[in-house]
Amino acid sequence: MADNILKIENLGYDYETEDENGEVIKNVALKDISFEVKKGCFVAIVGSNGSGKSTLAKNLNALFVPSRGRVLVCDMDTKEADPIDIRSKVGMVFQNPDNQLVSSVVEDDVAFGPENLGVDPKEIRDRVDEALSKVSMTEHRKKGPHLLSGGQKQRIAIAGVLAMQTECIVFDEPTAMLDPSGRKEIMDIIEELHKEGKTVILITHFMEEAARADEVIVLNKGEILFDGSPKKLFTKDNQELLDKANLKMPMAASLAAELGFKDVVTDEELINAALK
Amino acid sequence: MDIKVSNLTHIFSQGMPFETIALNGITCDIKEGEFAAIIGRTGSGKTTLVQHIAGLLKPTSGSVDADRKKIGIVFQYPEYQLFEETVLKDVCFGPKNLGFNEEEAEALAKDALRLVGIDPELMGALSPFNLSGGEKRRVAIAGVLAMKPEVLILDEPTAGLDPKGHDGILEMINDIKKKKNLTIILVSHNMDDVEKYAEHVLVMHDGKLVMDDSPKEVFKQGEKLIGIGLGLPWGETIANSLRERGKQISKEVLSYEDLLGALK
Repeated sequence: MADNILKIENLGYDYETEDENGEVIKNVALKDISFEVKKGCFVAIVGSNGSGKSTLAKNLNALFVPSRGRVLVCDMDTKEADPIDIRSKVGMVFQNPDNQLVSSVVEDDVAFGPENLGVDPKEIRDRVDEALSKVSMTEHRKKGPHLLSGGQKQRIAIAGVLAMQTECIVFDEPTAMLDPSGRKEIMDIIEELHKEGKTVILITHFMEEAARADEVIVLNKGEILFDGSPKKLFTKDNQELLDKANLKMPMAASLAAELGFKDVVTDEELINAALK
Repeated sequence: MDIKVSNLTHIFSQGMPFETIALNGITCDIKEGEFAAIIGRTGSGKTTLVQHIAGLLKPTSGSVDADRKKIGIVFQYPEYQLFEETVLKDVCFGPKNLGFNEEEAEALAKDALRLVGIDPELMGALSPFNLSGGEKRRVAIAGVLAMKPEVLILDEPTAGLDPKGHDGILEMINDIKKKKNLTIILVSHNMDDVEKYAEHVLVMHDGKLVMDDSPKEVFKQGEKLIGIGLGLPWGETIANSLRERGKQISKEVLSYEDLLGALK
Protein backbone atom coordinates (compact mmCIF):
# COMPACT_ATOMS: atom_id res chain seq x y z
CA MET A 1 0.00 0.00 0.00
CA ALA A 2 1.30 3.40 -0.97
CA ASP A 3 1.63 5.89 1.79
CA ASN A 4 -0.68 8.28 -0.04
CA ILE A 5 -4.40 7.68 0.39
CA LEU A 6 -5.21 10.35 -2.15
CA LYS A 7 -3.26 11.70 -5.07
CA ILE A 8 -4.89 14.48 -7.04
CA GLU A 9 -3.20 15.28 -10.34
CA ASN A 10 -4.14 18.40 -12.32
CA LEU A 11 -7.80 17.89 -11.49
CA GLY A 12 -10.27 20.01 -13.42
CA TYR A 13 -14.04 19.81 -13.16
CA ASP A 14 -16.75 21.49 -15.23
CA TYR A 15 -20.47 21.73 -14.57
CA GLU A 16 -22.32 21.55 -17.85
CA THR A 17 -25.68 23.19 -18.38
CA GLU A 18 -27.73 23.75 -21.52
CA ASP A 19 -29.05 27.15 -22.56
CA GLU A 20 -32.45 27.68 -24.27
CA ASN A 21 -30.99 26.70 -27.66
CA GLY A 22 -29.64 23.43 -26.34
CA GLU A 23 -26.06 24.70 -26.45
CA VAL A 24 -23.87 23.22 -23.74
CA ILE A 25 -22.38 25.84 -21.43
CA LYS A 26 -19.34 24.85 -19.40
CA ASN A 27 -18.81 26.34 -15.95
CA VAL A 28 -15.32 25.62 -14.79
CA ALA A 29 -15.55 24.78 -11.07
CA LEU A 30 -12.03 23.38 -10.53
CA LYS A 31 -8.81 24.21 -12.40
CA ASP A 32 -5.59 22.30 -12.26
CA ILE A 33 -5.75 21.10 -8.66
CA SER A 34 -2.87 18.94 -7.46
CA PHE A 35 -2.12 17.70 -3.96
CA GLU A 36 -1.53 14.51 -2.02
CA VAL A 37 -2.94 13.28 1.24
CA LYS A 38 -0.79 10.98 3.32
CA LYS A 39 -2.25 8.21 5.44
CA GLY A 40 -3.29 9.47 8.86
CA CYS A 41 -3.15 13.14 7.90
CA PHE A 42 -5.76 15.74 8.90
CA VAL A 43 -6.32 18.18 6.04
CA ALA A 44 -8.69 21.15 6.18
CA ILE A 45 -10.06 22.70 2.99
CA VAL A 46 -11.25 26.31 3.28
CA GLY A 47 -12.35 29.02 0.85
CA SER A 48 -15.22 31.35 0.02
CA ASN A 49 -18.73 30.25 -0.93
CA GLY A 50 -18.51 28.99 -4.51
CA SER A 51 -14.72 28.44 -4.43
CA GLY A 52 -15.11 24.76 -5.36
CA LYS A 53 -14.72 23.06 -1.96
CA SER A 54 -17.73 20.78 -2.21
CA THR A 55 -17.03 20.00 -5.87
CA LEU A 56 -13.54 18.93 -4.83
CA ALA A 57 -14.95 16.79 -1.99
CA LYS A 58 -17.28 14.98 -4.38
CA ASN A 59 -14.34 14.23 -6.65
CA LEU A 60 -12.58 12.47 -3.78
CA ASN A 61 -14.91 9.47 -3.62
CA ALA A 62 -16.17 9.18 -7.17
CA LEU A 63 -19.46 10.99 -6.63
CA PHE A 64 -17.98 13.13 -9.42
CA VAL A 65 -15.21 12.02 -11.77
CA PRO A 66 -12.72 14.55 -13.13
CA SER A 67 -13.31 16.43 -16.37
CA ARG A 68 -9.53 16.79 -16.65
CA GLY A 69 -6.60 15.24 -14.80
CA ARG A 70 -7.15 12.39 -12.37
CA VAL A 71 -7.87 11.43 -8.79
CA LEU A 72 -6.17 8.36 -7.36
CA VAL A 73 -7.65 6.75 -4.25
CA CYS A 74 -5.19 4.19 -2.87
CA ASP A 75 -3.68 4.05 -6.36
CA MET A 76 -7.08 3.43 -8.01
CA ASP A 77 -8.13 5.93 -10.68
CA THR A 78 -11.68 7.10 -9.85
CA LYS A 79 -12.51 7.19 -13.54
CA GLU A 80 -11.70 3.53 -14.04
CA ALA A 81 -12.22 1.75 -10.73
CA ASP A 82 -15.53 0.35 -9.46
CA PRO A 83 -17.11 3.16 -7.37
CA ILE A 84 -17.77 0.61 -4.60
CA ASP A 85 -14.02 -0.01 -4.30
CA ILE A 86 -13.41 3.75 -4.09
CA ARG A 87 -16.14 4.28 -1.49
CA SER A 88 -14.87 1.45 0.66
CA LYS A 89 -11.71 3.58 1.01
CA VAL A 90 -13.15 7.11 1.26
CA GLY A 91 -16.40 7.87 3.11
CA MET A 92 -18.30 11.14 3.17
CA VAL A 93 -20.24 13.07 5.81
CA PHE A 94 -22.34 15.96 4.53
CA GLN A 95 -23.47 19.26 6.03
CA ASN A 96 -27.06 18.32 6.66
CA PRO A 97 -27.46 14.93 8.37
CA ASP A 98 -31.13 14.89 7.33
CA ASN A 99 -29.94 14.39 3.75
CA GLN A 100 -27.81 11.44 4.72
CA LEU A 101 -29.97 9.40 7.10
CA VAL A 102 -32.02 6.81 5.24
CA SER A 103 -33.63 4.54 7.81
CA SER A 104 -36.27 4.97 10.50
CA VAL A 105 -34.15 3.20 13.12
CA VAL A 106 -30.71 4.44 14.14
CA GLU A 107 -28.90 1.09 14.02
CA ASP A 108 -30.40 0.15 10.64
CA ASP A 109 -29.14 3.45 9.34
CA VAL A 110 -25.62 2.72 10.50
CA ALA A 111 -25.84 -0.75 8.89
CA PHE A 112 -26.82 0.69 5.50
CA GLY A 113 -23.26 1.47 4.37
CA PRO A 114 -21.63 -1.89 5.18
CA GLU A 115 -24.69 -3.71 3.74
CA ASN A 116 -24.09 -1.93 0.45
CA LEU A 117 -20.45 -2.94 0.53
CA GLY A 118 -21.59 -6.59 0.84
CA VAL A 119 -20.17 -7.16 4.33
CA ASP A 120 -21.16 -10.40 6.08
CA PRO A 121 -24.27 -9.81 8.29
CA LYS A 122 -22.56 -11.09 11.45
CA GLU A 123 -19.72 -8.71 10.92
CA ILE A 124 -22.15 -5.86 10.21
CA ARG A 125 -23.64 -6.38 13.70
CA ASP A 126 -20.19 -5.98 15.26
CA ARG A 127 -19.30 -2.99 13.12
CA VAL A 128 -22.57 -1.21 13.94
CA ASP A 129 -22.11 -1.74 17.68
CA GLU A 130 -18.53 -0.51 17.52
CA ALA A 131 -19.39 2.54 15.41
CA LEU A 132 -22.28 3.56 17.68
CA SER A 133 -20.13 3.22 20.76
CA LYS A 134 -17.39 5.31 19.15
CA VAL A 135 -19.80 8.25 18.71
CA SER A 136 -21.45 7.56 22.14
CA MET A 137 -24.85 6.80 20.65
CA THR A 138 -25.31 3.18 21.75
CA GLU A 139 -28.20 4.00 24.07
CA HIS A 140 -30.12 5.58 21.17
CA ARG A 141 -29.65 2.65 18.78
CA LYS A 142 -33.35 1.66 18.64
CA LYS A 143 -34.67 5.22 18.27
CA GLY A 144 -35.87 6.97 15.13
CA PRO A 145 -33.29 9.45 13.86
CA HIS A 146 -35.98 12.18 13.69
CA LEU A 147 -36.20 12.12 17.50
CA LEU A 148 -32.54 13.11 17.87
CA SER A 149 -30.91 16.54 18.08
CA GLY A 150 -28.86 17.92 15.18
CA GLY A 151 -25.55 16.97 16.78
CA GLN A 152 -26.82 13.46 17.55
CA LYS A 153 -28.03 13.02 13.97
CA GLN A 154 -24.63 14.08 12.69
CA ARG A 155 -23.04 11.52 15.04
CA ILE A 156 -25.24 8.82 13.48
CA ALA A 157 -24.15 9.92 10.00
CA ILE A 158 -20.52 9.61 11.17
CA ALA A 159 -21.22 6.17 12.68
CA GLY A 160 -22.62 5.10 9.31
CA VAL A 161 -19.35 5.99 7.64
CA LEU A 162 -17.26 4.44 10.45
CA ALA A 163 -19.13 1.16 9.98
CA MET A 164 -17.85 1.11 6.40
CA GLN A 165 -14.32 1.10 7.87
CA THR A 166 -12.94 3.42 5.24
CA GLU A 167 -9.33 4.59 5.43
CA CYS A 168 -10.37 8.18 4.96
CA ILE A 169 -13.41 10.30 5.84
CA VAL A 170 -14.31 13.53 4.05
CA PHE A 171 -16.42 15.87 6.19
CA ASP A 172 -18.19 18.57 4.14
CA GLU A 173 -19.06 21.38 6.59
CA PRO A 174 -20.32 18.90 9.20
CA THR A 175 -20.90 21.57 11.86
CA ALA A 176 -22.55 24.32 9.79
CA MET A 177 -26.06 23.53 11.01
CA LEU A 178 -25.28 22.66 14.61
CA ASP A 179 -25.55 24.57 17.88
CA PRO A 180 -22.36 25.23 19.89
CA SER A 181 -22.45 22.00 21.88
CA GLY A 182 -23.27 19.99 18.73
CA ARG A 183 -20.29 21.59 17.02
CA LYS A 184 -18.00 20.73 19.90
CA GLU A 185 -19.23 17.11 19.96
CA ILE A 186 -18.50 16.66 16.27
CA MET A 187 -15.09 18.38 16.35
CA ASP A 188 -14.05 16.23 19.34
CA ILE A 189 -15.03 13.08 17.43
CA ILE A 190 -13.14 14.23 14.33
CA GLU A 191 -10.00 14.90 16.37
CA GLU A 192 -10.27 11.55 18.13
CA LEU A 193 -10.62 9.71 14.81
CA HIS A 194 -7.54 11.52 13.55
CA LYS A 195 -5.59 10.57 16.68
CA GLU A 196 -6.54 6.93 16.14
CA GLY A 197 -5.00 7.07 12.69
CA LYS A 198 -7.92 7.83 10.36
CA THR A 199 -7.20 10.11 7.47
CA VAL A 200 -9.50 13.13 7.82
CA ILE A 201 -10.42 15.78 5.27
CA LEU A 202 -12.51 18.59 6.72
CA ILE A 203 -14.19 21.26 4.65
CA THR A 204 -15.16 24.18 6.85
CA HIS A 205 -15.94 27.89 7.11
CA PHE A 206 -14.81 27.95 10.74
CA MET A 207 -11.17 29.03 10.88
CA GLU A 208 -10.71 27.74 14.44
CA GLU A 209 -11.57 24.26 13.11
CA ALA A 210 -9.09 24.60 10.24
CA ALA A 211 -6.43 25.71 12.75
CA ARG A 212 -6.61 22.27 14.37
CA ALA A 213 -5.61 20.45 11.14
CA ASP A 214 -2.09 19.32 10.11
CA GLU A 215 -2.46 20.98 6.74
CA VAL A 216 -4.77 23.61 5.26
CA ILE A 217 -5.65 24.00 1.59
CA VAL A 218 -7.15 27.34 0.56
CA LEU A 219 -9.30 27.26 -2.56
CA ASN A 220 -10.19 30.37 -4.51
CA LYS A 221 -12.18 30.38 -7.76
CA GLY A 222 -11.45 26.70 -8.29
CA GLU A 223 -7.70 26.98 -7.78
CA ILE A 224 -5.37 26.28 -4.87
CA LEU A 225 -4.22 29.57 -3.38
CA PHE A 226 -2.31 28.05 -0.46
CA ASP A 227 -1.30 24.59 0.74
CA GLY A 228 0.61 24.30 4.00
CA SER A 229 0.40 24.19 7.78
CA PRO A 230 -2.12 26.34 9.71
CA LYS A 231 0.83 28.09 11.39
CA LYS A 232 2.18 29.16 8.00
CA LEU A 233 -1.25 30.24 6.74
CA PHE A 234 -2.58 32.20 9.67
CA THR A 235 0.03 34.94 9.92
CA LYS A 236 -0.25 38.70 9.50
CA ASP A 237 1.84 38.41 6.33
CA ASN A 238 -0.92 36.39 4.69
CA GLN A 239 -3.66 38.93 5.36
CA GLU A 240 -3.94 39.78 1.67
CA LEU A 241 -4.26 36.11 0.70
CA LEU A 242 -6.90 35.53 3.37
CA ASP A 243 -8.86 38.61 2.26
CA LYS A 244 -8.77 37.40 -1.32
CA ALA A 245 -10.28 34.07 -0.28
CA ASN A 246 -12.93 35.73 1.96
CA LEU A 247 -11.30 34.20 5.04
CA LYS A 248 -10.23 35.52 8.42
CA MET A 249 -7.58 34.62 10.94
CA PRO A 250 -8.85 32.38 13.75
CA MET A 251 -9.43 34.62 16.79
CA ALA A 252 -6.60 32.90 18.67
CA ALA A 253 -4.10 33.60 15.87
CA SER A 254 -5.25 37.17 15.52
CA LEU A 255 -5.00 37.88 19.24
CA ALA A 256 -1.61 36.15 19.43
CA ALA A 257 -0.32 38.39 16.64
CA GLU A 258 -1.42 41.49 18.56
CA LEU A 259 0.24 40.22 21.73
CA GLY A 260 3.42 39.15 19.94
CA PHE A 261 3.03 35.40 20.66
CA LYS A 262 4.73 33.25 18.03
CA ASP A 263 3.36 30.07 16.42
CA VAL A 264 -0.09 30.31 17.97
CA VAL A 265 -3.17 29.43 15.92
CA THR A 266 -5.41 27.32 18.17
CA ASP A 267 -7.15 28.25 21.42
CA GLU A 268 -5.06 25.69 23.30
CA GLU A 269 -1.83 27.23 22.00
CA LEU A 270 -3.02 30.70 22.92
CA ILE A 271 -3.83 29.59 26.47
CA ASN A 272 -0.41 27.96 26.85
CA ALA A 273 1.37 31.04 25.51
CA ALA A 274 -0.60 33.36 27.81
CA LEU A 275 0.24 31.24 30.86
CA LYS A 276 4.00 31.45 30.24
CA MET B 1 -44.30 48.93 17.78
CA ASP B 2 -43.52 46.85 20.86
CA ILE B 3 -44.15 43.11 20.81
CA LYS B 4 -45.77 41.52 23.84
CA VAL B 5 -45.72 37.76 24.29
CA SER B 6 -48.02 36.62 27.11
CA ASN B 7 -48.01 33.15 28.58
CA LEU B 8 -47.57 31.63 25.12
CA THR B 9 -47.83 27.85 24.90
CA HIS B 10 -47.62 25.73 21.79
CA ILE B 11 -48.20 21.99 21.78
CA PHE B 12 -47.52 19.97 18.63
CA SER B 13 -49.67 16.83 18.03
CA GLN B 14 -51.80 17.50 21.10
CA GLY B 15 -53.48 14.35 22.38
CA MET B 16 -51.32 12.14 20.12
CA PRO B 17 -48.60 9.71 21.28
CA PHE B 18 -45.86 12.12 20.13
CA GLU B 19 -47.34 15.17 21.84
CA THR B 20 -44.56 17.74 22.25
CA ILE B 21 -44.67 20.94 24.25
CA ALA B 22 -42.64 23.22 21.98
CA LEU B 23 -43.33 26.40 23.95
CA ASN B 24 -44.27 26.41 27.59
CA GLY B 25 -45.71 29.59 29.07
CA ILE B 26 -43.45 32.18 27.41
CA THR B 27 -43.84 35.79 28.53
CA CYS B 28 -41.56 38.51 27.21
CA ASP B 29 -41.47 41.97 25.67
CA ILE B 30 -39.47 43.09 22.67
CA LYS B 31 -39.26 46.87 22.49
CA GLU B 32 -39.47 48.99 19.37
CA GLY B 33 -36.08 49.60 17.74
CA GLU B 34 -34.22 47.05 19.82
CA PHE B 35 -31.75 44.41 18.60
CA ALA B 36 -32.92 41.23 20.30
CA ALA B 37 -31.29 37.82 20.00
CA ILE B 38 -32.82 34.44 20.74
CA ILE B 39 -30.38 31.68 21.63
CA GLY B 40 -30.87 28.05 22.64
CA ARG B 41 -29.99 24.52 21.58
CA THR B 42 -31.44 22.86 18.50
CA GLY B 43 -35.01 21.92 19.43
CA SER B 44 -35.29 24.40 22.31
CA GLY B 45 -38.20 26.26 20.68
CA LYS B 46 -36.45 29.29 19.11
CA THR B 47 -37.91 28.85 15.65
CA THR B 48 -41.38 28.06 16.99
CA LEU B 49 -41.26 31.26 19.05
CA VAL B 50 -40.35 33.47 16.09
CA GLN B 51 -43.01 31.78 13.96
CA HIS B 52 -45.54 32.81 16.61
CA ILE B 53 -44.22 36.38 16.68
CA ALA B 54 -44.58 36.50 12.88
CA GLY B 55 -48.13 35.10 13.15
CA LEU B 56 -47.40 31.91 11.25
CA LEU B 57 -48.69 29.63 14.01
CA LYS B 58 -51.72 29.83 16.30
CA PRO B 59 -51.02 29.50 20.02
CA THR B 60 -52.40 26.50 21.89
CA SER B 61 -52.88 29.04 24.69
CA GLY B 62 -51.63 32.52 25.52
CA SER B 63 -51.13 35.30 23.00
CA VAL B 64 -48.79 37.53 21.04
CA ASP B 65 -49.68 41.19 20.82
CA ALA B 66 -48.18 42.65 17.62
CA ASP B 67 -49.24 44.03 14.25
CA ARG B 68 -48.24 41.18 11.95
CA LYS B 69 -48.43 43.34 8.83
CA LYS B 70 -45.35 45.14 10.11
CA ILE B 71 -43.27 42.04 10.74
CA GLY B 72 -41.00 40.47 8.14
CA ILE B 73 -39.34 37.09 8.60
CA VAL B 74 -36.24 35.75 6.87
CA PHE B 75 -36.09 31.97 7.16
CA GLN B 76 -32.97 29.78 7.35
CA TYR B 77 -31.19 29.45 4.00
CA PRO B 78 -33.56 32.05 2.46
CA GLU B 79 -31.80 31.88 -0.91
CA TYR B 80 -33.69 28.62 -1.53
CA GLN B 81 -36.78 30.78 -1.85
CA LEU B 82 -35.42 32.81 -4.78
CA PHE B 83 -37.35 31.84 -7.88
CA GLU B 84 -37.70 34.72 -10.36
CA GLU B 85 -35.74 35.29 -13.56
CA THR B 86 -34.08 38.45 -12.34
CA VAL B 87 -32.94 39.87 -9.04
CA LEU B 88 -35.27 42.87 -9.37
CA LYS B 89 -38.34 40.76 -10.19
CA ASP B 90 -37.64 38.52 -7.24
CA VAL B 91 -37.50 41.42 -4.80
CA CYS B 92 -40.67 42.92 -6.37
CA PHE B 93 -42.66 39.78 -5.57
CA GLY B 94 -43.42 40.75 -1.96
CA PRO B 95 -44.59 44.34 -2.52
CA LYS B 96 -46.68 43.24 -5.53
CA ASN B 97 -48.46 40.71 -3.33
CA LEU B 98 -49.20 43.53 -0.92
CA GLY B 99 -51.05 45.30 -3.77
CA PHE B 100 -48.46 47.83 -4.94
CA ASN B 101 -48.45 48.48 -8.68
CA GLU B 102 -45.48 47.66 -10.89
CA GLU B 103 -43.86 51.09 -10.56
CA GLU B 104 -44.27 51.32 -6.78
CA ALA B 105 -43.07 47.75 -6.30
CA GLU B 106 -39.97 48.45 -8.38
CA ALA B 107 -39.17 51.58 -6.38
CA LEU B 108 -39.52 49.63 -3.11
CA ALA B 109 -37.41 46.78 -4.49
CA LYS B 110 -34.65 49.12 -5.61
CA ASP B 111 -34.56 50.81 -2.20
CA ALA B 112 -34.39 47.41 -0.49
CA LEU B 113 -31.58 46.21 -2.77
CA ARG B 114 -29.56 49.36 -2.05
CA LEU B 115 -30.07 48.76 1.67
CA VAL B 116 -28.51 45.30 1.42
CA GLY B 117 -25.60 46.61 -0.63
CA ILE B 118 -26.70 45.33 -4.05
CA ASP B 119 -26.71 47.96 -6.82
CA PRO B 120 -30.06 47.50 -8.63
CA GLU B 121 -28.74 49.19 -11.79
CA LEU B 122 -25.77 46.83 -12.01
CA MET B 123 -27.29 43.61 -10.74
CA GLY B 124 -31.08 44.01 -10.98
CA ALA B 125 -31.26 42.33 -14.37
CA LEU B 126 -29.09 39.34 -13.45
CA SER B 127 -30.48 35.92 -12.62
CA PRO B 128 -30.40 35.48 -8.84
CA PHE B 129 -28.99 32.00 -9.41
CA ASN B 130 -25.76 33.39 -10.86
CA LEU B 131 -24.88 35.30 -7.71
CA SER B 132 -22.48 34.21 -4.97
CA GLY B 133 -23.78 32.63 -1.75
CA GLY B 134 -23.53 35.88 0.22
CA GLU B 135 -25.16 37.92 -2.56
CA LYS B 136 -28.06 35.48 -2.91
CA ARG B 137 -28.72 35.78 0.77
CA ARG B 138 -28.69 39.60 0.56
CA VAL B 139 -31.21 39.49 -2.28
CA ALA B 140 -33.45 37.17 -0.26
CA ILE B 141 -33.29 39.58 2.69
CA ALA B 142 -34.07 42.49 0.33
CA GLY B 143 -37.20 40.58 -0.72
CA VAL B 144 -38.46 40.87 2.86
CA LEU B 145 -37.22 44.46 3.39
CA ALA B 146 -39.11 45.57 0.24
CA MET B 147 -42.34 45.01 2.18
CA LYS B 148 -41.23 47.75 4.59
CA PRO B 149 -41.42 45.82 7.85
CA GLU B 150 -40.86 47.58 11.17
CA VAL B 151 -39.69 44.34 12.73
CA LEU B 152 -37.24 42.05 10.95
CA ILE B 153 -36.88 38.48 12.19
CA LEU B 154 -33.83 36.55 10.95
CA ASP B 155 -33.44 32.83 11.65
CA GLU B 156 -29.70 32.04 11.57
CA PRO B 157 -29.00 34.39 8.67
CA THR B 158 -25.28 33.54 8.42
CA ALA B 159 -25.41 29.71 8.46
CA GLY B 160 -23.15 28.25 5.78
CA LEU B 161 -21.54 31.56 4.76
CA ASP B 162 -17.78 32.07 4.53
CA PRO B 163 -16.16 34.23 7.26
CA LYS B 164 -16.28 37.51 5.33
CA GLY B 165 -19.82 36.78 4.10
CA HIS B 166 -20.84 36.11 7.70
CA ASP B 167 -19.45 39.42 9.01
CA GLY B 168 -20.83 41.31 6.03
CA ILE B 169 -24.41 40.14 6.60
CA LEU B 170 -24.35 41.03 10.31
CA GLU B 171 -22.83 44.47 9.71
CA MET B 172 -25.47 45.05 7.07
CA ILE B 173 -28.30 44.05 9.43
CA ASN B 174 -26.92 46.35 12.12
CA ASP B 175 -26.64 49.26 9.65
CA ILE B 176 -30.18 48.79 8.37
CA LYS B 177 -31.45 48.65 11.94
CA LYS B 178 -29.82 52.01 12.70
CA LYS B 179 -30.84 53.67 9.43
CA LYS B 180 -34.47 52.56 9.52
CA ASN B 181 -34.94 52.20 13.26
CA LEU B 182 -36.02 48.59 12.70
CA THR B 183 -36.57 46.12 15.51
CA ILE B 184 -34.32 43.12 14.89
CA ILE B 185 -34.98 39.64 16.25
CA LEU B 186 -32.00 37.42 15.49
CA VAL B 187 -32.00 33.67 16.08
CA SER B 188 -28.36 32.65 16.42
CA HIS B 189 -25.97 29.91 17.50
CA ASN B 190 -23.03 32.30 17.45
CA MET B 191 -22.39 33.75 20.90
CA ASP B 192 -19.78 36.20 19.60
CA ASP B 193 -22.34 37.76 17.26
CA VAL B 194 -24.90 37.92 20.06
CA GLU B 195 -22.39 39.56 22.41
CA LYS B 196 -21.36 42.07 19.74
CA TYR B 197 -24.71 43.13 18.30
CA ALA B 198 -27.60 42.28 20.61
CA GLU B 199 -29.05 44.64 23.20
CA HIS B 200 -31.43 42.07 24.62
CA VAL B 201 -30.97 38.29 24.85
CA LEU B 202 -33.69 35.68 25.26
CA VAL B 203 -32.43 32.21 26.20
CA MET B 204 -34.67 29.26 25.39
CA HIS B 205 -34.35 25.79 26.88
CA ASP B 206 -36.79 22.90 26.47
CA GLY B 207 -39.58 25.22 25.36
CA LYS B 208 -39.12 27.60 28.28
CA LEU B 209 -37.68 31.07 28.46
CA VAL B 210 -34.90 30.65 31.03
CA MET B 211 -33.12 34.02 30.75
CA ASP B 212 -34.29 37.40 29.51
CA ASP B 213 -31.69 40.15 29.99
CA SER B 214 -28.85 42.20 28.50
CA PRO B 215 -26.00 40.21 26.88
CA LYS B 216 -23.71 41.28 29.71
CA GLU B 217 -26.00 39.86 32.41
CA VAL B 218 -26.74 36.70 30.41
CA PHE B 219 -23.10 35.89 29.65
CA LYS B 220 -22.18 36.50 33.30
CA GLN B 221 -24.03 33.29 34.03
CA GLY B 222 -21.57 31.18 32.08
CA GLU B 223 -22.09 28.00 34.07
CA LYS B 224 -25.82 28.08 33.59
CA LEU B 225 -25.45 28.59 29.83
CA ILE B 226 -22.99 25.73 29.50
CA GLY B 227 -25.30 23.58 31.66
CA ILE B 228 -28.05 23.92 29.07
CA GLY B 229 -25.70 23.08 26.21
CA LEU B 230 -24.88 26.59 25.02
CA GLY B 231 -21.53 28.22 24.47
CA LEU B 232 -20.00 31.49 25.63
CA PRO B 233 -18.40 34.29 23.64
CA TRP B 234 -14.86 33.40 22.61
CA GLY B 235 -13.10 35.92 24.87
CA GLU B 236 -14.97 34.67 27.92
CA THR B 237 -14.23 31.01 27.06
CA ILE B 238 -10.48 31.66 26.83
CA ALA B 239 -10.47 33.86 29.94
CA ASN B 240 -12.24 31.11 31.91
CA SER B 241 -9.68 28.51 30.81
CA LEU B 242 -6.86 30.85 31.83
CA ARG B 243 -8.44 31.49 35.23
CA GLU B 244 -8.89 27.74 35.78
CA ARG B 245 -5.18 27.28 35.18
CA GLY B 246 -4.28 29.91 37.72
CA LYS B 247 -3.97 33.11 35.72
CA GLN B 248 -5.29 36.21 37.45
CA ILE B 249 -7.79 38.04 35.27
CA SER B 250 -9.83 40.35 37.45
CA LYS B 251 -11.62 42.28 34.72
CA GLU B 252 -14.81 40.98 33.21
CA VAL B 253 -14.01 39.48 29.81
CA LEU B 254 -16.60 38.66 27.14
CA SER B 255 -15.34 39.74 23.73
CA TYR B 256 -12.12 39.46 21.77
CA GLU B 257 -11.36 43.10 22.58
CA ASP B 258 -11.95 42.51 26.31
CA LEU B 259 -9.48 39.62 26.26
CA LEU B 260 -6.91 41.65 24.35
CA GLY B 261 -7.26 44.40 26.95
CA ALA B 262 -6.86 41.93 29.83
CA LEU B 263 -3.75 40.27 28.40
CA LYS B 264 -1.92 43.33 27.15
